[in-house]
Amino acid sequence: MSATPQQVRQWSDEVAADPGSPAFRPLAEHYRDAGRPDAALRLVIRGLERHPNDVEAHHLLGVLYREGGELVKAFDEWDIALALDAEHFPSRRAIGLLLAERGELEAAERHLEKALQGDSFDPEIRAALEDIHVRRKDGRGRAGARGRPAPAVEEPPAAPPESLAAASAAPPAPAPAEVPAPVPAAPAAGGEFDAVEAELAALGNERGIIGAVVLDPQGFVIAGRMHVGDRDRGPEIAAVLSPSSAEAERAVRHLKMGGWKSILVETADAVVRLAPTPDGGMVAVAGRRDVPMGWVLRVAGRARDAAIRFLRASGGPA
Amino acid sequence: MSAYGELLDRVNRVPGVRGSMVVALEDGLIVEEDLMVGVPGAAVAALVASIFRRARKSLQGADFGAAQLVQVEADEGLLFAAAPPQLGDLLLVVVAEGWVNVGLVRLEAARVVEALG
Repeated sequence: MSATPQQVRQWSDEVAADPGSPAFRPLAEHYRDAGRPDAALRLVIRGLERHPNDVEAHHLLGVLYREGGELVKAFDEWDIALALDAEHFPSRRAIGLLLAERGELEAAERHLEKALQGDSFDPEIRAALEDIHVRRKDGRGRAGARGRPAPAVEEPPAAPPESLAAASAAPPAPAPAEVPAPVPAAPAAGGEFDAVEAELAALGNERGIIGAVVLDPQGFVIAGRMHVGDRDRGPEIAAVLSPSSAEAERAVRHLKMGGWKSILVETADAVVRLAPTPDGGMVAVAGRRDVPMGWVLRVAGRARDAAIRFLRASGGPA
Repeated sequence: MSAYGELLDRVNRVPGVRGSMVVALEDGLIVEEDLMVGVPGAAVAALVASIFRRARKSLQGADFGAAQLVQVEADEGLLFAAAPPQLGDLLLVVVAEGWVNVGLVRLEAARVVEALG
């Protein structure tokens, strides 16, 4: 139902008298409905300065960015909304549909399954889930993306699949586990693979170093090991920590700090350093706390050099 | 000034620090903040808390112990999040320029947190 002129006047008066008035949101929604997205955008941004934890305002800002074609910003706003309220189904739904359009099927499916809990009869969600099922069978889409936002704004979103237009009552596909079991990526070439394995093994034997692994952009281990006791913990660490790179990237983008260079995590017993590789993957190196931090960082630098040589030799970006 | 306010004030005196926050680890909401104008505290708090939770889950799962500190280094800045026991389920988050003396930030944070306990 559209707002009455009296309501609009009242909201306008309230916002004019107090820019922090909560009336900014319905007024912005009215401007959006009236085809004035720029005015709506200005209002929401100004309102969020006063109400940074307003979940609905972050969602609305995401919708406005989405409609303006700014997909990365839209994703970020919905992501913030979900960080503030994990049960905010409209943001969950919006992120799921955006990821589905971009072909990031696993992440899309996970979000859409959760969004379905908010409205189990939502025809668009059901149609998108059915489409994901079909596309996965056909082998289309980036199935391993696991919730990572695709920041390439210059890349236009894929055309909505036909089945998105027609509602379907087909049962949704089952949700994948929160962290899919990592499977090793196929090595690019035998010689290069053996070389990087040998280099990482040598680094793993350095004083105080627990291990070093190279990860692909989906967070799967390409090479290396990280032994704790008698078990290789590399795949577990990779699977859970890998999405941190996307969060780090978004955090530093919000702060206008350029790209992220490393993530360092310290516990009482160990230190783990993650650094990006040119193909969008990462190198993770773990060391014990009983050796100086600077030493661990030096070894981590050598591990990254080895990973870059491997990527270059195997034809990847370097 | 609250105890957290004093903590942030002291950390912010380190040259290169653009601001600091006390953030709830579980939901990423700001408990106390002292940031320079233009630093988007709410978004950064939410994302840093999420990184910290992920790091904690990952390293505990791998028997490396509980994450105490996460540092994100960028081309032109640094984010630093610490979870000292004195702060319970809260994080001390520091936003700094790339040229900041990291050791000094850590030292000052540790001193102040110790005083809190």
